[in-house]
Amino acid sequence: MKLHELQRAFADAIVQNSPDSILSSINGGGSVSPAERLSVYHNNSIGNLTDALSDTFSATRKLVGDGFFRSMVKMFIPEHMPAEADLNRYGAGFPSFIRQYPPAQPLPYLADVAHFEWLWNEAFLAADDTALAPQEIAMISPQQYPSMRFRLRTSARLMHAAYPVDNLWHFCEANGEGDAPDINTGDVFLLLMRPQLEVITLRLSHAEYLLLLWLSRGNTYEVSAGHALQEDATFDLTAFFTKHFELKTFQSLYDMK
Amino acid sequence: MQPAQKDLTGIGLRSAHYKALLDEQPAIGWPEIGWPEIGWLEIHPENYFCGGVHTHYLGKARERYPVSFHAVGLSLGSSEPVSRNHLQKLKALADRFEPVRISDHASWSASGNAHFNDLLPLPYNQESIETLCRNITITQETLGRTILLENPSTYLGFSESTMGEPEFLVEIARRSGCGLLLDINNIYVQAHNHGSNAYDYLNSIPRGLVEEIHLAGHMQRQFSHGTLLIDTHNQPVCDGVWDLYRAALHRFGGVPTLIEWDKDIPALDVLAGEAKKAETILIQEQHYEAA
Repeated sequence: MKLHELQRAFADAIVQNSPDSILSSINGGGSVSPAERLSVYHNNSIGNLTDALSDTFSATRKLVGDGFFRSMVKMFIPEHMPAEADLNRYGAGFPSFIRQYPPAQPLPYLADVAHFEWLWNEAFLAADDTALAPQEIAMISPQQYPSMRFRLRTSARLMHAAYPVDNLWHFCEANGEGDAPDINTGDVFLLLMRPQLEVITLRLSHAEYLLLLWLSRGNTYEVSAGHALQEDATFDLTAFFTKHFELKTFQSLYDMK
Repeated sequence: MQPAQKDLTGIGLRSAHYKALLDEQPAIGWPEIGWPEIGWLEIHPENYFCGGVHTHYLGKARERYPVSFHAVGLSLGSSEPVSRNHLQKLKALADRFEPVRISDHASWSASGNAHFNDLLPLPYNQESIETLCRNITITQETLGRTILLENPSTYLGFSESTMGEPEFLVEIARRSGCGLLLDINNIYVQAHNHGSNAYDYLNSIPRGLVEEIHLAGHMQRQFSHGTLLIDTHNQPVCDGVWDLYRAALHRFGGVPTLIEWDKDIPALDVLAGEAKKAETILIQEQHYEAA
């Protein structure tokens, strides 16, 4: 076999755990059979990917237990092999896989917890950047305020979930110590971000979430604030800015008229 | 004891040790308490293609130690060319942290769009030599420097092979200009798994090609009619590998030596203890050669 054929056949054999496509090329020698030798590669490859998912989605794993998690991962991996060498970024499709995975249906919050963990991972791995300095706002004339556009920090991720995924995550991080969180407390709106080295997770009000969401999608302050005020007519815009300058949520201003 | 010896022993920098090694007053590097003089730290560059904690600690590590890059994601043995994107990230990291050495493996890990994050075996023949040389050349031209190629642990052979592994590696080094990173544990594992002789392997590698040595632990796995050694990097280095290491130093001289421990990572002092053993042998062997 030519090298490209051999590598394709070998890859198929590992992913599918069926040696037939490559067996004729393997001469192990000694007392361990070619199929047994090939199985080492299947176990190593799938084991490495399982470990990577297990690290990235550790709360998800703790919620369902190792056995359930492994069965789920075993179904996920063959259809979702990593497209790049960086294992830290493996598993983007895992939350939506869980949402469709029939045995996980009795746990409607599981996919949300996995999604939270993925966003946490993205925030953790995001490129370094620096926060917008409050002086930069001070230099802007009030007439320009409506047209201000804010870029959020590279690591900022917003999430709306029907379950208290942040509480569930903290509960798992503490290895189940303390009271199990009540999952029927209603929707949560979250900001995950890494201002410097540590990822923080923060609950937002619905209006605050909407303001950040519309800003993050490239809308002006005027448009974004309109959505927040529509949700909550008493929303305090000054307090919002004071808070998010302190948190260093913004990276820069751009495209000002 | 020659003063140059103190720079030869290295350990892998792993996130579990960031704080102990780089934040707290580092006990490591204090020979008075029986620890080795750590000459350099090795990282997997793929773990630093991002911002945040990892890159922060790599910066701290670099302030105190020389750093080497041991890549696992170039897939130099793939029939497809090396990923330009991956290479650009590696280059950016190398420009920033100025590693003393950059290495990857004589294996492949990507086919089509699938990455295996494992070191998959190659048939040892002319086509594989040409493939590796092409990918090493692309890599070296992009980085503007030579790299080192490491011998892998393998668990099977191919009927497409036409030569032995040492001959294969030496030919690639000659053609591409790369150096060799000799993993002594992998040679030991190969000898067991393929019924060959590890000392013959060492003697097939010309002096002068070997620029770095790796030492690691492995495990034995039982199959229905025999055993294979699996390169697990989760154990202390075994006695047989220490013996082989001694022979390698005798042949190749004082080569920078790294203890690799990637899974079930122990406390830093256990890792330092392994490095101390390597340092002791380095000193003894140099002494032997000088005599």
